[in-house]
Amino acid sequence: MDELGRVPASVAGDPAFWRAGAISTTLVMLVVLAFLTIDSLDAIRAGGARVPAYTVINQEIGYAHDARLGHAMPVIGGEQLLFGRKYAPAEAQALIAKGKRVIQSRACIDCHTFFGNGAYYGPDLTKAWLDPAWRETWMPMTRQATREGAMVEFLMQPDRYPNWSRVMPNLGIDREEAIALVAYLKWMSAVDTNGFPANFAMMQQTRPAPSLSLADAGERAHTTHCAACHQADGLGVPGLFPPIASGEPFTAPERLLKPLIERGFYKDGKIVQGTVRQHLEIVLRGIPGTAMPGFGDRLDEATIAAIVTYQRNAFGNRSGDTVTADDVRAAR
Amino acid sequence: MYASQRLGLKYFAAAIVFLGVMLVAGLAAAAAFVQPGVLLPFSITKIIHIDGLIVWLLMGFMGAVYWFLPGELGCETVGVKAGEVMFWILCAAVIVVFGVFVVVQYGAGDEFALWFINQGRKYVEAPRWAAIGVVAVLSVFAYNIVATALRARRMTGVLAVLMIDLVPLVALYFVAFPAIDNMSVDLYWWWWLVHMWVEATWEVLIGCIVALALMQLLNTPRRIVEIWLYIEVALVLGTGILGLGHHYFWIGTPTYWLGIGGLFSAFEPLPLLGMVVHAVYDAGTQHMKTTNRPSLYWMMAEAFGNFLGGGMWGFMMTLPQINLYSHGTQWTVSHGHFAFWGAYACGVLSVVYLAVQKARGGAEPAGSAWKWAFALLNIGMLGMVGALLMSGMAQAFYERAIGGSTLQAFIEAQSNPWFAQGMAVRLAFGFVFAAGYVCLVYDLLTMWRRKA
Repeated sequence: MDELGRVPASVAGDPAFWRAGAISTTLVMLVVLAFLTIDSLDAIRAGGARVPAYTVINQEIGYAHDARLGHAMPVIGGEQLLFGRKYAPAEAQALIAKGKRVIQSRACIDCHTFFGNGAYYGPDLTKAWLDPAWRETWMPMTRQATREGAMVEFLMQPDRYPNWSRVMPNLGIDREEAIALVAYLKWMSAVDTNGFPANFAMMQQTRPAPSLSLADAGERAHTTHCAACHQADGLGVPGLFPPIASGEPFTAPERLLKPLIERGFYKDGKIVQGTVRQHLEIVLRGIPGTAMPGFGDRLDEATIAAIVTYQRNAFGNRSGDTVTADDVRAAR
Repeated sequence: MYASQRLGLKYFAAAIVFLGVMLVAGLAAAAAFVQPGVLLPFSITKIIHIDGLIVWLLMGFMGAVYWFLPGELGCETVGVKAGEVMFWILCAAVIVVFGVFVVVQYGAGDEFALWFINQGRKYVEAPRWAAIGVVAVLSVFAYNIVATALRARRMTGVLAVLMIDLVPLVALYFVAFPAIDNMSVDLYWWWWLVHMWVEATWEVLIGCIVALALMQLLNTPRRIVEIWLYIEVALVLGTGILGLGHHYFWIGTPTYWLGIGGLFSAFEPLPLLGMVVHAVYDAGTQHMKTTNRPSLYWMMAEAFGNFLGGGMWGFMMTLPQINLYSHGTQWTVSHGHFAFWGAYACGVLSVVYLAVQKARGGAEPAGSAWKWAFALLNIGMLGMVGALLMSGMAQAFYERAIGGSTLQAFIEAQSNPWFAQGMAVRLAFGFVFAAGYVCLVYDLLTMWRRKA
């Protein structure tokens, strides 16, 4: 260098100088990576500092905000058996190994994400075990008393229990495979992921503001609770979810049409407007054997009243009916 | 023309065909977001789209090296015959693998499925028998380069970098085989393959290919090209090796990766910025004068696309405080499309134009089809990238920030009008891109049919 600190052209213009720089930079980085890898692999082995042992499937797994860290952390609680049995370490290991092979053979990661990695067509599965939807949607839909029971039924026949217009295809998962998958998801939910995905299940459900008019509240509640299947425009999805708009044609398997005919909502290949009583009955208790869940124990009377009122007066339905919270209470 | 160069042209032809295959699969996958349940399951279209991406780019890289190698060393490539056999094996294997994906789709959760149907790990879905084939193809490719240099008793700086780069290119692919039970450990190693290929090994490989192309395209002196290549290697590996940490934020790995990954990946745009400076400087010293305008245009698209798509779009979401919300949303998809397009696709297309011109006697490419192809492909890509970014930001906000990341939050975000509009616009620009592809194929075929 000269007195001004400039690098003479002879060095900067010499490829050998830059070659030496490239080689030494790369080597330093590789050495650092090697040390970090040794440390990380120890932390993420099953039973390591950040990833639980596979026997965690015998325990209750919670998720709670940690004020010191500023994000939620898995909380491992007392015994909570999976499928009512306690898995020994070797059995748990075998179950997890099976679950991983099911995940790979069905290429779950090419629709879903694990720890946010994969495809973005289906929901992230990192904390799927903890998702309120099992309790709120699939336990009633599959008529199962436990979360794991509902998960197994769903995984074996996802096309029979859809909750959205994107229906998970039936991937030929048998009972044994489904059990292994459920165990895998339970174990994975206990991994410390630094708070990913953000705010998991920590947010209040959005509720219609009390000042909204009945029509606005109904439209908003319909969008939130009904539109995933019946669509925002009330036209449903052909073959899967019936329209709410009367006069619309709907073709579907007998299994889906029969309960609609019995309840007076289907005639001559088209949807028709049934009675208020039947409408409330369906919304409150669902239709057994189909994807329609009951909302009676999930929504308050005012919201259900708003939904039914909205649906009976929107999408070209002109019943003029107004359903009140008292009507809903009476129907319960 | 050397036999090696004829083999290079074959690889280019196959690369362009598989670009078409991935494009069709991509349109089908994009359509599934707008109208679910048409044709194949989403996962199958997605697999063919991303595996087709890897296949066509690898073929483009190998074609480029087989094309440039004899010129660089002044002799025929050793083992061209074996390279040719491997070419046909690779083509046949890809067709069989894609056929099985479409027809069989999935197996039971046992080893048979992993060996013969689908390994179900993103980017390395190909069953193990086919992964062995990829190792064989890459090994023959690596052997041919090293053996040719040994026979020629010559070595250039660019070739030395290329040859060292072949070691991780082959070695990292072995991550494609194991089925590790523990998802955290599985993804830890999986990222060694995916990140270290795409953000390190491949970047160096395309750096070498661009260096070789610039010497022909703009007569840039070898000394300048080599200095730039070394600077790029130092910056790519100096930032990219520990930049690996940005994939270790959320997979269960220790918290220190948030700092390390965030810091080093924040510097990852540097080498890409260097490439822009380099390309613009070289083109400027030649007053943009060249005998192959399509190739120069694609080279400029490569430099800017790599910097914007890889560098800026990556930087935008790489800090953990943002990544917590953006990771695994359509925001990622926006970055992925722009980065692969800018960093690799444009470079391969530049070399393809260069090679086809030389193979046809060196006359300057004529007509306007190449301009249409260039414009429509780039507008199509930018349109898709912008639309995906819109959807991705809406998703990050509605699903993660205020929705609470549950299934219900996911569904609500996907049904949000901003999200849904983005997906529709993406599909529309997908068709613009497809129109550009048709122009590209037409133009290359026209050039090819011209008498030498």
